[in-house]
Amino acid sequence: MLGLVGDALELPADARKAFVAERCGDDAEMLTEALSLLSQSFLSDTTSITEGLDIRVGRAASWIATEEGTHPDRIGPYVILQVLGEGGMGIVYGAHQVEPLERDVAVKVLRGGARVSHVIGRFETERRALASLDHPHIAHIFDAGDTDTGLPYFAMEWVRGVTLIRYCDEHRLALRERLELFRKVLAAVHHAHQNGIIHCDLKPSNVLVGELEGRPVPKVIDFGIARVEKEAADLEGEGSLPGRAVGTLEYMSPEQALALPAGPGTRSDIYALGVLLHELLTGVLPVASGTLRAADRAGLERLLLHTDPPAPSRRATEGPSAAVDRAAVRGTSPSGLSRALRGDLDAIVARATRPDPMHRYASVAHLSDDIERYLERRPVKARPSTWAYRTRRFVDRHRWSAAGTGTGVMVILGMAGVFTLRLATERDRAQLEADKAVQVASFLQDLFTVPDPVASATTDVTARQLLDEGAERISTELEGQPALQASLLSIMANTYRGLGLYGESVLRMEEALGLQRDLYDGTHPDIATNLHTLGLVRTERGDLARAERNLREALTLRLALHGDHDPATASTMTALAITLRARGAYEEAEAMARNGLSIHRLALGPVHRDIASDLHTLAHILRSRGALEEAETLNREALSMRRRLLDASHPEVLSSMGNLAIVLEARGTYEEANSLLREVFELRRARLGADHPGTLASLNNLAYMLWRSGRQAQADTLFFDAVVTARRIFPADHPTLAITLNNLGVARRTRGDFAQAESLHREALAMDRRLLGDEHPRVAGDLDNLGKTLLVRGDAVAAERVHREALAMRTATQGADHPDLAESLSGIAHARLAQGDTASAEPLLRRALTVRTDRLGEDNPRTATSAHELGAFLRQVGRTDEAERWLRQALATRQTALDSGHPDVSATRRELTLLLGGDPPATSPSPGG
Amino acid sequence: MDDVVGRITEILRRGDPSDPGRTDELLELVYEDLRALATRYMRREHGPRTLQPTALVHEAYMRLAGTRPPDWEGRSHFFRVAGRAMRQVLVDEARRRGAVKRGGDARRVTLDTQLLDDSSHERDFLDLHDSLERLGRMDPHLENLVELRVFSGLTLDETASTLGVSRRKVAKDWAAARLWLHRDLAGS
Repeated sequence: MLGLVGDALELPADARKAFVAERCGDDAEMLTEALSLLSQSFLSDTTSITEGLDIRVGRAASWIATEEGTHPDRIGPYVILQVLGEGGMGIVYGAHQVEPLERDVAVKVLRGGARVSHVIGRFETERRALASLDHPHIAHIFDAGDTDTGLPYFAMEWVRGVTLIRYCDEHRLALRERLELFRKVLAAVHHAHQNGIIHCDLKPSNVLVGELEGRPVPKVIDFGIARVEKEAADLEGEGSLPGRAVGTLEYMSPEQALALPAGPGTRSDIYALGVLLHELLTGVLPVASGTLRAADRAGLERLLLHTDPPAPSRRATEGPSAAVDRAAVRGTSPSGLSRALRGDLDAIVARATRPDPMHRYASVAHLSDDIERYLERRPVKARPSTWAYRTRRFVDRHRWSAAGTGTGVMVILGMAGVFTLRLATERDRAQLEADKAVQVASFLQDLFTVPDPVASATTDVTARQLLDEGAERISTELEGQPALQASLLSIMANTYRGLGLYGESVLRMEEALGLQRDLYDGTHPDIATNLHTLGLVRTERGDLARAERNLREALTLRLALHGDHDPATASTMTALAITLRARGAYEEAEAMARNGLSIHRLALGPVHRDIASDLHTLAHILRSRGALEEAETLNREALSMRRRLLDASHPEVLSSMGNLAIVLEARGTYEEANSLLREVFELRRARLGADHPGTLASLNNLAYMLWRSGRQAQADTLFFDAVVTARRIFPADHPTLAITLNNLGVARRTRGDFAQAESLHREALAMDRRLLGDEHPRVAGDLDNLGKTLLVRGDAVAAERVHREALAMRTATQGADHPDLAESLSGIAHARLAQGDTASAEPLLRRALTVRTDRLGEDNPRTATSAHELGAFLRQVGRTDEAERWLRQALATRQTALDSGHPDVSATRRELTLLLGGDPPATSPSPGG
Repeated sequence: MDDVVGRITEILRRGDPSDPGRTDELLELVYEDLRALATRYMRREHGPRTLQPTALVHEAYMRLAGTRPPDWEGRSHFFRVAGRAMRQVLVDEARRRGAVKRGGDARRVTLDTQLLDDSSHERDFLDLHDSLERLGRMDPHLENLVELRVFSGLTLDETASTLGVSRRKVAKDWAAARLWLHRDLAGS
C-alpha cells in the first residue's frame, strides 16, 4: 500500500487520486487509507514533515550532550532543536526559524549574567555592520537580540561542517590544496576588514568547512562576536587576565594577549591567520599550547615579543613519530614537508606573525597575494627581494623533477639475434625541452640584458646560442655566488640534455657539481640530484662506467639524506637499474629495479606515473634477461597505466608502446608489434622531427621489425637512412650510432655485399668496445655478427675465434643459460662445420637449441631457428629421421608465428623438401639466424 | 573502547552479514560504542560539541575507517546496524530522563530558570519510536529505510546503495513513509 502511495507521489498532485483509485480497484479499505495518507501531502509539504522527524530526533540527541541540563524551547523566533556547542562564553544551539522565513540557524547565547545585555546596545552599529556582511565564506549573522531573561544572543547561519584543519587532515589534503582552501578563508576575512569588522578570535574552531556538491566550502563563523564577548567579560571583571575567557591564547596576537595599548586591529587577525596557517601546514602550533598557558605575564612577553619561534619547516619534523603522521595526512614525509616549507612558506608565516603589527602584512589581501605568488612559484614578497632570491625562484620553477623522473633515459635493448636495437624510454623532454630552452634563454636574456639591443633584434638568435652565451656569463658574471651559479648551471645542463646535446650537458653538470661540492662539503640533496641527473645523461651518452659511479654515489647520498623509504631514493635505484642493465649486470639491475618499484608503491600508491616508469624499466630488464612472459605482462601494465594517466600520444605512452612491441616481437607476435611500432614512429616524427634521437630509435626499430617480418629490401633502405641520420646527430662514438652501423652491416651481408658488411661490423665493434668495454653483451653481439660475416667471406678460422670470444663474454656477463648464448654457439658450430668438423658441431647446435627451449619455450621463433639449424645439420649428415623431427617442429612454429611469405618459412620448407625428396643438399646457411 | 572498535571491525570484515547471531553481537557492540562516544561528548573532553545522532554514527564509522575501511558490504552492514543502535541509545536515554523527571529529581538549570521542561520532548521521541515500530510491523523494509535516513544520516543515494535498490525506489518509499509517520504521530 505504501508502495502505491510512493508511486502516486511521483505524479502531479491533481493526478494522484485517479491513479490510486484505478490501482486499488474495488479494495475500498486500501483506497481510503491511501487517500488519507496522500491528503497529508496536501496539508504540508514533505520537507517540513522531515524536519518534524529531525526535530524529535535532534532534541533527543541534545539530551546526551547536556546531561541533565535543560534548555529553552525557543529563543526569540527560533525553535531550539539541539545543542551545537558550549564554551566559556556561552552556548550555541541549533535552531529552526519559521517566521518570516523558514531556515535553520545557529543561536549563540552569551552567558555572563544579565549585566552583559547592555553590551549589545553599545555595539548596535557594529551589529548592523555584522548583519550586512555578505560573503560566501562568512557565516551570515542574521540577527542579534536579548533572550526573555535578558541574555544577549546572536542568530547566524548554521554551518554544517568540521573545522578547517580537521577537514584537511581527514581528506589528506596536500599543501597546495590546503593553501588554496586557506586563501578562500583569507578572502572572507579581507571582506570583513573592508567593512570595518575585525574578528578578534580567529582559530580552527571558527573556520568550518562544509561541502557543497562535493566541493569544500569554508565558512568563518562568529565574526565580530569576540569583541562583544570581550566587552562582556570586561564588565564581569574577567577580561583583564590574558588568555582568560575571551579569545584563544594560542592564536592571540601579542597586542591582544598582553593587552598592549595598540589594541586589536586588522593586523591582529593577520597574526591569528598566520598561526592558523602554521598549524594548517605543519599540524602543530608555533609555540606549544602548554608553554603558552603555563607562562606568567613576563613569560608571555618573552615568548610573544622577544623570541623568534622556530620556523614551520623546523617544527614540521619535531617529535619524530608524530611528525610522520602529520606529514602523512599531508601526503608526504617529514623531510619532504620540511623541504616544502623551507624558504617561502617559512617567510610567509613569519611575516604574518611578527610581534610588531607594523611589521606584518599590511592587509589580509597582501597575505593572500603572497600565498598565490608561492603557488605560482613567483618570488614571494615576504622574502627580501634580492636578485639572487628572484633567481632562486626561477630555478625552483624549472627545477627538474629529476628526483622523480628516474627513468628519463634512452635505454638500449640488446637483441638476441642479428640486430641489436635501441629503444627510447625517454620521457621525452625534447618538445617540452625546446620550450623550456626558450624560457631559459629568454630568462638569461633578461638577466644579463643583451648588450647590443639592435644586434639582438636583428639576429635570429637560437636557443642554443643564447644558452651557450648564458653559460659563459654564468661563470664570469656570477663569480662569487657559487650556489646560484650551480643552480643555473644545473638548469642549463638539463636544457642541453633536452636538446640532445649530451656533451655540453655533462660539462655544465660537472661544473655545477664542482661548485656544490666546495660549497656543501660533499653532502647535500642538490649534489645527489645533480649526480643522479649526470648519471642519467651519461647513460644516454653510453658512458656507462662513469654513469654507474655517479648513480652509486647519488644513491649512497640519498640513502643517507632521505632514508630508504623516500621516493627520490627509489628513483635513483631505478636509474641505477637502467645503467646496470645497459652494462649487462642483469641480476643486480633486476633487484635494484624491484626495490625501487616497491618503495615507490609504498610511497605513492599503486597507480602513479613514476610507478609506470618503474614497471617499464623492470620489464625492460626482464626482457634483456629472457623472462619474456613477465616482461610482456609488466609492459602491458605500464602501458595501460600510462594511457590512463597521460595523453594518448604522450612520449611516455609511445615509449611503452615501443618497448611492448619489442617484447612482442621477441615472443613472435609480429602483427601487433608491427602496428605499434609504426604508430610510434609516425607520432615521434611528427612531434620531435626526424633528427631527434627518439625518432631515430623508432626508425631503427621499425626497420628491424620490417626485417624480422621478411621485408628486407625496405628494411635495408631504412637502416641506411638511420646510419646517415645517426652520423649527423651523433658526431662521435655513440651507442645508437654503433647499433645502426651493426644493423646496416647485417642488411648488407644479406644483400651479398660482404666487404661493406665486414667494415660496418668492425666499425660498430670498435665503437662499442670504446663505449662499453670488453665485457658487455652488446660487444658480444657485435662479435657474433662480425663472425657471421667473416664466415661468408670464407675465413672460418677467424670466424670461430670471434664467436668463441663472444661466447666467453656472454657466459661471463649473461650467465651460462642465457638464450643469447645460442647466437655464439651456433656461430662456432657453423665455423667448425665449414672447417669440416661435424663431430663437434652437433653438441654445440643441441646446446643452442636447449638454452632457447628452456628460456623461450618450444614455440618461439628463435627456438625454431635453432631447431631448423639442428635439423639442417642432421639432414646433411644423413640422419633423416631425427632431421625430420626438428625441421617439422621448426616449420610448425615458423608457420604459426611468421607471415607465410617469410624467408624463414621457405627456408625450413626447402630443407624439408630436400630431406623428403632426396635432392642434393643446399649449401647456403639459413637466413635470419 | 578501542577494543570495541577492533571487534566491530573484525565482525565487519569476517562476519557473514546474513548471520543473525553476528548481527546481534554487532548491534550490541555498536550500541556500546555509540554510548561511549556520547558520554565523551557529555564529559566535554572532546572538541566542539556539535552533536547530532547522525554525527555520532558517522564518527563511529570514521573510527572504523581510520583503522582500515571496511569493504562496501561491511560499510552497508555497519550503517544498517548503527541506525538501529543509535535509535536504541536515544530510546534508552528518553526513558531514563522520563523516569528521572517523574521521580522528581532536582534539575540542574544552566541557562534559564523560566523554561522548565515538562517531559514532552522525551514523550515526543518515544512516540516516534513507537510509530516506527508500527511502521516496521507493516513493512520492515521501510523501518530500516527510515533508520538509515534519520539515525545513520545517509543520503538518498547512500541509502539506495546500502539497501541495494534504486534511488528512485528509495525516494518513493521515503516519501510514503514520511506521510505515514506524520499521520501516525498526529494520531498518537
